[in-house]
Amino acid sequence: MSDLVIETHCLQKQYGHTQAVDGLEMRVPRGSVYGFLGRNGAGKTTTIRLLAGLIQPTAGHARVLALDPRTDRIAVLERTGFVIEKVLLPSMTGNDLVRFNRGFFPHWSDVLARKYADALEIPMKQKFGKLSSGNQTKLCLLLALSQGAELLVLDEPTAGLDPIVTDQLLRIIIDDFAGEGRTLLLSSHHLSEVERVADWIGIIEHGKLLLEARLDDVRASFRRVRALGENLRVSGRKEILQTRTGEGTTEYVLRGNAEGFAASLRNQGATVLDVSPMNLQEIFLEVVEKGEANVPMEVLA
Amino acid sequence: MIIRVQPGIGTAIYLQIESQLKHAIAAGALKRDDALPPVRKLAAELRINPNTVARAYQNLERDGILRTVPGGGCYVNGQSPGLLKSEKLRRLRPLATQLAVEAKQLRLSREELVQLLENSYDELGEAP
Amino acid sequence: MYLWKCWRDTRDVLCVSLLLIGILLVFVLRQNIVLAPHAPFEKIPLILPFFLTIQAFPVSFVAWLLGTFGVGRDLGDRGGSYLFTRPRSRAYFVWCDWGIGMAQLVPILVLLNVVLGVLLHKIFVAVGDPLHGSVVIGGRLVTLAFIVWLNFGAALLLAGLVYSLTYFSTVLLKHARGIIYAAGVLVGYLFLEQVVPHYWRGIQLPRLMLQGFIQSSRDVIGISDHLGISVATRVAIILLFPLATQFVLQKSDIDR
Repeated sequence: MSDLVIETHCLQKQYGHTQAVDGLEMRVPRGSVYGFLGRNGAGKTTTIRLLAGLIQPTAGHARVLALDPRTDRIAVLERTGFVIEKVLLPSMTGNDLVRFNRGFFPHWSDVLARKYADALEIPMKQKFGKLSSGNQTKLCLLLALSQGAELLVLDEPTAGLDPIVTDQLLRIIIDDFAGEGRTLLLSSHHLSEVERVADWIGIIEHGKLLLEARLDDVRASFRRVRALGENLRVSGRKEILQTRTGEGTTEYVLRGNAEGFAASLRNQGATVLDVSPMNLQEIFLEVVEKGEANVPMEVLA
Repeated sequence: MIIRVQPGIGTAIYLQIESQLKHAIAAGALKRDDALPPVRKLAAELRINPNTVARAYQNLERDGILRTVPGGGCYVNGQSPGLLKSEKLRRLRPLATQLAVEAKQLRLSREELVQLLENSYDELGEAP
Repeated sequence: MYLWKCWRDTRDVLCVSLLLIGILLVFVLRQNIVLAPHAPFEKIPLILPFFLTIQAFPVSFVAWLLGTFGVGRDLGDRGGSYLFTRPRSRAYFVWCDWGIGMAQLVPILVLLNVVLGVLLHKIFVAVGDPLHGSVVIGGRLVTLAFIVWLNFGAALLLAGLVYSLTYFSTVLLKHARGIIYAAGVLVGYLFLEQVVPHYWRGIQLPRLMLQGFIQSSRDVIGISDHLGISVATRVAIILLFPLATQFVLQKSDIDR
């Protein structure tokens, strides 16, 4: 088992009658860029709040950097940077906030703070409350990026950022984080960005992880197979996520050996039109729609 | 040379990189002993995870197309000399099948298809 | 650095208060108090409770305003997710807030009681000051300094109570508007204080402000006994509020 910076066991959080997080089993390997994906209300932010020790689980536990955020919260927070709400202290300017934040973290770097302020074009002399929401988000990210943390957890960091700034941010993430032994967990709706920078993904729905695997493995194993004819006999049912028929063709969404599946169709005499790969957006849609149980990673390897 | 990747299409990014590098080598844009950009630099420029670039480089090295030098750095090897002809043909088969399927759908004749292939091959010029 | 933030947030209240009191001081210093030549010196003690009570309103107001700052306000501004992901215990934030607030009340009250001292001194002089800065209360010789200290102590305890209660309610409500509830509680208590003796004779609720002087009808007859115990009890009650605040915050889910 590789070194995990985040793991959860049967993590649960209940609000009233709703299970926001419902038996979550999550594993984030050290040094990875982990894309945490899910619809609104799927439980991403609640999970992140649990990891930060801001809220307490109803059951189960989590480990961040091998520490329990319930009992060792301060030790977790010293080494982890969190960006959750994009709200800081409204009466402080960017420079004030840098000064304020610096005192909390021994590995803080003013050099990095200046570099990021320039790269992201943040007005540092305006009060936070007066900044546009895009600038507010950027400032929140700057504080986390300059912290010298070994783990960063960012909740929808690119929400509300324009494409130029998003591009700059991705560049910063790749330059300074990816592949440097530091770990980054980011939740996002912008699947094309996650697809670029992530090496692991976790898809959460209704508080449970539906899928957690290396992005490469996911991309390699999901296929769309289209064949002529309807009511075809198929084997390997457990590999099929979805079947759709219409206008004389049948489309299968598979996770597994697509070539073998296509061959079995051809053996019946059916014409296979194509076996095509799927991008992350398509995979996400299929997985969430299906809402299937988490398949262990060994199967996908 | 400039590499571009599109994360949104179906092909995995590392495969896109491999295919573009192979194309560049085949077309002569990258010659034997040319240096490839360092992994992190290329990753940063493309805004993709360095592991993805590293994987592409590793695959090409395994295929004998690139070599790494102990001090770091990747260099072009020339075409893959070490593979058996049967292996080379096996690799190309899926592409050939795809081409054949498309051609049939478009009702291209056998001769037209062969002509198309010959043109493409010739355009690339001499192998380095 | 968190202490710096607390100071930054509250310094306006401190500066404006000190400025206003400073102006009052200048005004008082320039007054010449002239009383009728035969004004009885013995009646001077009667005005002392008045001075004690008159401080109550401005002091409570300032303490109430100060109570609006701190983590309660930050939670209301949705800054809780940022603040509580800084590596400090929640108790740290509470006691820093509370400590700075209390520390700021001290200079305000000191200056206010300097004004009082100057004013009383002038009054003594105007009636001839036969005992050279002292006065007789209940048969005891009491210095002006003691009176001022008593006033200062009572005011500080009152301010501490109002401040701590207000601060606690902002954290309980996770919003700066908690101060409205605190005001409601205080007004409610004052109301009860008046109403309770009507229905349950003999029961007197403790006054919000420490009463240094025992009064009977309209004559001050003495300094209260057991001042030490009274002060200690009030200090203990005051400290219960930041403790309760710490407890509430530690048990809370930070959802904003």
